[in-house]
Amino acid sequence: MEKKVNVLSNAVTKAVVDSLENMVFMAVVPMRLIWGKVQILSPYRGAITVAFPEKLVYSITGEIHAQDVNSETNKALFMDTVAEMTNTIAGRVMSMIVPEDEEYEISLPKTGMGDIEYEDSSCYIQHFEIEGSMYAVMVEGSDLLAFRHKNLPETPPPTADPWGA
Amino acid sequence: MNKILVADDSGTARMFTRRCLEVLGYKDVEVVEVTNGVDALSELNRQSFDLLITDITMPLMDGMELVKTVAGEAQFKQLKMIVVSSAGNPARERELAEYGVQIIAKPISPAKLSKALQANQQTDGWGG
Repeated sequence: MEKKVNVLSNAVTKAVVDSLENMVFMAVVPMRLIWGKVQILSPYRGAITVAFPEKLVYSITGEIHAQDVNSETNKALFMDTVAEMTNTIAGRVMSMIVPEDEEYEISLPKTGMGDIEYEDSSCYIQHFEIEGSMYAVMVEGSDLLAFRHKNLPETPPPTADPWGA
Repeated sequence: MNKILVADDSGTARMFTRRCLEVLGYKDVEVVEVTNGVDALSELNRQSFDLLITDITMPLMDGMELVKTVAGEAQFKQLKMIVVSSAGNPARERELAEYGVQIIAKPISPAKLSKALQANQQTDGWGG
């Protein structure tokens, strides 16, 4: 029986973990992101995505709403936090690049957890955490990106991939 | 000022606004929160407010329609209005200015809110 496996994600994760642990003896873990994205509708076309480490979103949300938050009970709350921050940041970016007397329009924000959805399918970024800091690996090119969705015989996922894509 | 109505579909944004009001010393003011323009109008018809702070993009009725509706009713003549927006639209801002509405670009801050409140105090209800 076959299942869809994110071969690319598994390969990047194993490569980063093995390399950093052996080269600099640092523990590396995949970083779970919570992201918000707005489409830029006019006068330019594009998208702005803002991504936060999951733990940072909990911290920010707890700070804003003066309460403890966790993924099980407050998902709507911290997704709303990310949406609002994304909307605000994107609006600010546009206000600084669009001439003052011109109108600009952005979409409502979309939010998600885990892999960021990119409009440009030739780009994939995977994030890791090393000693509290973010470390990213970017992969470009549709040939390589195709390895995100490979049908392979079922095998146990690598131990370094907690989401077992 | 005794009662403020905050209209925004984002709970985070409403919290930011509430915090700015607290920083500015409006701790004892009653703040009522709604998530859309329809509920905002319901509250405005139900009880008396001194100030409306509204987002533009909201479900059911957006901020522009809310402002226009409020501006068209004599019973709300003394209501001060502030719009908080993330998108830039000079034409819309000119239109809002005609209604005597102050506009704050996100992110809202105590300084921006204070400036808008002071500007509002210099007008007599909406429309100057």
